Amino acid sequence: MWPNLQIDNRALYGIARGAAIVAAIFSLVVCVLMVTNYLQLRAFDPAKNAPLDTLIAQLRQNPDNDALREQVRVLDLVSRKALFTNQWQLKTGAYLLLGGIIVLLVALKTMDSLHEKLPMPEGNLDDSESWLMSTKARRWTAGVGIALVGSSFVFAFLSYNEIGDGVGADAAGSAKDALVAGVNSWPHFRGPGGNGIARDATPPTSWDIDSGEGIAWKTAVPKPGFSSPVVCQKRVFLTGGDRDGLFIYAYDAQNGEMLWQFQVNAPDDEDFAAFRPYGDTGYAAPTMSTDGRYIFAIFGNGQLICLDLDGNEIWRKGFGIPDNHYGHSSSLLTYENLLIVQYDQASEGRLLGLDVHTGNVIWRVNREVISWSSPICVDTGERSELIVTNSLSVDSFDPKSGVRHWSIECLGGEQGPSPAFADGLLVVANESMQASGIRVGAQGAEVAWEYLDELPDAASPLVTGQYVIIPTAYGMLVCLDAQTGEMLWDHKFDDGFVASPVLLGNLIYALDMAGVMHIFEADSAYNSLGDFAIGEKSSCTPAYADGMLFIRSEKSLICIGEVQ
Amino acid sequence: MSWSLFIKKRIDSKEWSARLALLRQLFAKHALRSRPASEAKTCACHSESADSTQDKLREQSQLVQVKKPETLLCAQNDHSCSPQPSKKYLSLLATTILLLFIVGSHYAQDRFPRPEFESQYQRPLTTTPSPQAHFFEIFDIFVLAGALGLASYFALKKRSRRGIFWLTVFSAAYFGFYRNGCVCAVGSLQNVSAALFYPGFLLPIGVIMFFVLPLIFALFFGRTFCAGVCPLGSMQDLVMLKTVKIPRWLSEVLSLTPYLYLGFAVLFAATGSAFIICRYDPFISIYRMTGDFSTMIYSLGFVGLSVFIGRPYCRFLCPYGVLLGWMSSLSKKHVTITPDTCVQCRLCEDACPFDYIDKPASGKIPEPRAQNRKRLAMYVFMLPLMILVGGYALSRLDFVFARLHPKVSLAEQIRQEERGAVPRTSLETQTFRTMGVPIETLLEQATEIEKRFHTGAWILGAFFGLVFGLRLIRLSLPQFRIDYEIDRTGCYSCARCFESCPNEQVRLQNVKNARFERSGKEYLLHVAESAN
Repeated sequence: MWPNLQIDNRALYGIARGAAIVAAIFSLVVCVLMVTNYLQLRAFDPAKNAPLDTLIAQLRQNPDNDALREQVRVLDLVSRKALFTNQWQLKTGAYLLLGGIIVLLVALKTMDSLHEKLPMPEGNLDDSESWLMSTKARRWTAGVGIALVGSSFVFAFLSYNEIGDGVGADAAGSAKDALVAGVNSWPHFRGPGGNGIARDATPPTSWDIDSGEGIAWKTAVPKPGFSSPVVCQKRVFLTGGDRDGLFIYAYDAQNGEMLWQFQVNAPDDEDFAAFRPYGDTGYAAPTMSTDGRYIFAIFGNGQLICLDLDGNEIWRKGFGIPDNHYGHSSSLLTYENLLIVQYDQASEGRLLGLDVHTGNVIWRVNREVISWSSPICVDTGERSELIVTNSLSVDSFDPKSGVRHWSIECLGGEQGPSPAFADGLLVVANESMQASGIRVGAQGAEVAWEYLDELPDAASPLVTGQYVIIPTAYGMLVCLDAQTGEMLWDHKFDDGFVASPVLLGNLIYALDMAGVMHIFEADSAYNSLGDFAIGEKSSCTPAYADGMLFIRSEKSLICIGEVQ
Repeated sequence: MSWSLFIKKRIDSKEWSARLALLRQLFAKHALRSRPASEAKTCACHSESADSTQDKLREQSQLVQVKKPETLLCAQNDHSCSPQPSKKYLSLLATTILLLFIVGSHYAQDRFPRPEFESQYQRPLTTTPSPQAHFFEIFDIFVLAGALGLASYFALKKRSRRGIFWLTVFSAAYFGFYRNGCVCAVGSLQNVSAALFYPGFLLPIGVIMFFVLPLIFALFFGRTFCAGVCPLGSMQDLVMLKTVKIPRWLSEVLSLTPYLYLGFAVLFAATGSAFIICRYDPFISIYRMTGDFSTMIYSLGFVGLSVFIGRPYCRFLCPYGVLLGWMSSLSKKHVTITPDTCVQCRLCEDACPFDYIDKPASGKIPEPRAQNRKRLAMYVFMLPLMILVGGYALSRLDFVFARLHPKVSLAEQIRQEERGAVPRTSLETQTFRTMGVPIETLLEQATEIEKRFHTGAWILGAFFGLVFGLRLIRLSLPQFRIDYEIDRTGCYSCARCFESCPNEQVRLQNVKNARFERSGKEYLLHVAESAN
């Protein structure tokens, strides 16, 4: 037990050992306490107090409520005290830990010095051993050098230069052109992030389809489809299809001229010939997505394709004909350099993150439960989250890695409406279950309220920040208080909604199935700016870009507004 | 409230009393300063007209206080004299303006109205923190120079490990905990790089000296800065307990990392992107006792590693160590294991925890010499190719490196937002959009920065190619060494190896004997004196 020490040193060694044990235990305890303290702080960050925020929001609405004001003060004081106490604990802990570690080190060094071994060289001096070491070092050095050069090339190949495709004046010019053209794009189903919101928009507020007043252009779409238009670099993209094949169309946003069309599948293609469309979704229900460089489209037969903006094929993938009793309808979404594909089926459904350049799978999440909704990407203030619903739950993932953040079971039945998000509130709804308002923060999510009355079937809800708009298939449209979920107003329209409403500026645009656009203010009361027909039935969500509204009707693509 | 009552209340208040006291002092000073030249005793050429003792004393004290600013050349005699009468009006004017400021500040209002508290909350007084004393910048230079001198003295002259150890403790305490690890010589190379490429970049004298002094000392005495002055090295040295010997080949490969780190640190500093040495300093959060969870884990991880691996940061990361190593290899003097001649007892073989003791080598290699010559020739021939390949490979990553520049990063975010690739806007992009600067301008600036990175990456890659090539050449050269020698490039002059040398033990015994002899002689002398 005792090293070979002199008698005099044994006592000192014993003291040092005892001190070392005590200091080690002390340091460990302090360390554990500090980590616990940190985890507590993470779980409840007093500086980000959701209940307090809620109370403050309530107080803003009821500024004369003294009891509420007092409640806010008390909660605020408690939060601040908790924060400062926590900080004090961490600081004190750090000093205690430092002290403990210093004592531990001194004790260990003392112990070490008391039984220091005298050097005892072994073997003979041998040059060859040194040379072998040098040889090994040489090989490793060369290997590391080659690996570094190789990884540089691979990394450069996999990385994308956002500013320009290289250096030089040309790159600057192309970057500028791309940028100018890319202003105010509508890249996915329901716009940027898939939330149906364009706050800076200045959309047209009236038109007359019969006289053509306010209509920029109207053009025929050769093939039908339920997919909504996406807009990028002054081009409008659509998908369509019938027994003659599957097509992608590109139109000039300025004049409606068809720039090109691309046939994805011909009638005799193997993947296409075996496909039998369902009436609810048809050949081309999912909306395309674009990242400004490429456009991506997926069709009812599971065919996924990537083209550049000029219609040149970059890559394609076939997921096989989906085992889906309504047909595939989930739209695509891009996030940074990833294409998000929600490919739900009765079995072997999956959520995929694909490299936009190659189509390679970067991450994959298996989906056990089917749905017909589309993914959205939201900014919670702390991070970007990919929100996906299925017929049981709403799940949040890291869009870069596919790692699940949280999951809440608040849905049921067949999930068609997509989630909606704004200002920290996520709303999911389903006709056969309920609507749930979910507060999403850094620490996860929790259900803030539930609403059971008027619920959507296929159209998605819209969160404007203060209000939640829920369109239904039977023409009822309700507005809820985003904070509490209480109904503020409802309005019955003649026709139901399949297209999702969007918020443009402070106006809500809701297109019913008969092809009438209802424009009203995002307000606590229904203030209509008018109802404007587009002349045809429609199930597609409108797109907005550069002050123009793009609406797909049964047979046409209509641009409303003044051409920029 | 009437105006007189208002004034009275103000005057009654403590705050106002303090202000009045200050005003009185100022008036008193002014009265002394602005006395007529005929009354003031300022120089021998003027008659002394102040009679009272009190006046003399007051005058003397005032002279001491204001001597420097008011000293002027006398028109009649070539020596100092009191100011001209016109100066006093200037002085009066200055004092009046000062008074106006003081009085005016009393009536100044808060920019935003202060909230009214109903809970008896006492508002704390507004205080202005005193500026960072310039004194410390100069003082630190002296401390550094003193510490370097002491380290060199302990290592080369005294050969005292104990002295180095206590200097290490001091450096960790002063440069580390007290001065919060900043400024440090390791990080200063970034400031110097930035200043070299940006003429407007301010380079304080303290930073220059922290960069230069250790290098100068290394050029004369070896890496005595690393021995016990560098706060980063000190931390690792103090926690080092049982070191694990790293295989020589692995150590050789890992020792290339500091060159990479140095290159990147210079590139990012020279392009105005980031000071990565400071950003990824593993010990700064410990010295400052602050940092987020991940930083603390990173720091504690490094400290934990230092317990079992001798100075991992110094050996396998420190970019400044590369420069010190170059200087040290050329150093005029350097510590040696033995104070005398090496007796090849092999007792020092494992004395260095950092493996910087080279064994004797006969120059023989266990393979045909022709084969080795051929290899050596190939490496020499391929050296330019390695430089070119390195430069080209890294130049392909110019835009990836450029992302560390805030402007390029902002431009990328803007681009992503514009094409709808991200659902969120950041604070930076929101701020940029409110500034009214055209996005095209930002893009052009970002492209310019990428160009700079392109050039920088070429140079950096070429440097890496050169380093790898030279290392391969060095590893192919047969070693010839008669005695156990210190690796002058790597050695930290920590003096650990001294005591393992039997000659050092003899030297120490001789020193002890001499001291004993001297004290014995003194004692005998003392006894003789006492007897007398």
